[in-house]
Amino acid sequence: MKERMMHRMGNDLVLTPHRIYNKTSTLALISALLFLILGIFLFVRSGDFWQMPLAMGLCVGVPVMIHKIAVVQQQIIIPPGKDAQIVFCIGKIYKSNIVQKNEAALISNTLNGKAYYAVTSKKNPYGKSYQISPFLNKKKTALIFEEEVLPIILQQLEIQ
Amino acid sequence: MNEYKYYQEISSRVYKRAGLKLQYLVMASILFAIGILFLIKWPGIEGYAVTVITIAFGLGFINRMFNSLHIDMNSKILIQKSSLLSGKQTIAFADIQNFSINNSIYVLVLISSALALTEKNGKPKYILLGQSFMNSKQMEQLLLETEKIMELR
Repeated sequence: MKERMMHRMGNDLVLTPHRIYNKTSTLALISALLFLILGIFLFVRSGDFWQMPLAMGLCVGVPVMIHKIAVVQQQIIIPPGKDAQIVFCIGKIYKSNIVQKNEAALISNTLNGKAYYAVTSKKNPYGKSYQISPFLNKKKTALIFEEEVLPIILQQLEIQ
Repeated sequence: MNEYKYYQEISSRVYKRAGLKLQYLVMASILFAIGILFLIKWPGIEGYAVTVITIAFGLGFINRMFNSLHIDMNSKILIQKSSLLSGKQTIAFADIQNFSINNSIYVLVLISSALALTEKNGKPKYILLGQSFMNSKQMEQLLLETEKIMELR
């Protein structure tokens, strides 16, 4: 599981906080495709009863597809060096500099009661932040992240 | 001159958080309006169920509308009341571990809550400092001002 949360790319540390959900979204996408196929099959065979499977396929498929492209692909790249820029990117479609390493702070946030770690600016720790961990509502995930991944992040960020 | 947007100095080194009542009133009014609409338009078990649920949530917002927060820098304490029906609680600065924002999304409504994590006798507890709807920037500013008043920033 640790490998799905982070990996090394040369000297850079690449965090993939949402990659852990890739399997679930793939399964949801497959079920959406099956509904769409069923809809097409019913349309061709009987000309009726295709509306419900088509609606279900679209209702599941479209949000899952957006989640797969825009969320699962999110990466936080932490390069070595004290004044290096931390980079946020979504696959190869979007890339932006977040904050300089010496200005960065690690915080714990919650969304809908689910806790996660995020990186933000020391100047405004309550402002825009970038998720670096999966949601830690599952004990196993929290334990792996806090014991195996977090120390590596702190080391790379050079935060004591 | 008061330099804070969300706090007012009511006496020497005692600060009162600004009332954020209007947003609760708006939310409660919307819910009451939905409840009444269902009661008039769709009388029957489904309509009544929607009315009861929306009125209950509306009353919840009215209850929460009366939350308050005072920072007493002389005694180094926070005096918080989280709703009309809850009692006042006093929190010593020393018991505060950190501040955080909790964003919750309920049916397209974002509720952003500014919280203080406290620990007394080994028991962690979140204390509500303020809430805003559909806008987390207000809570960011509230926490920055809280830190500034408490001389943490």
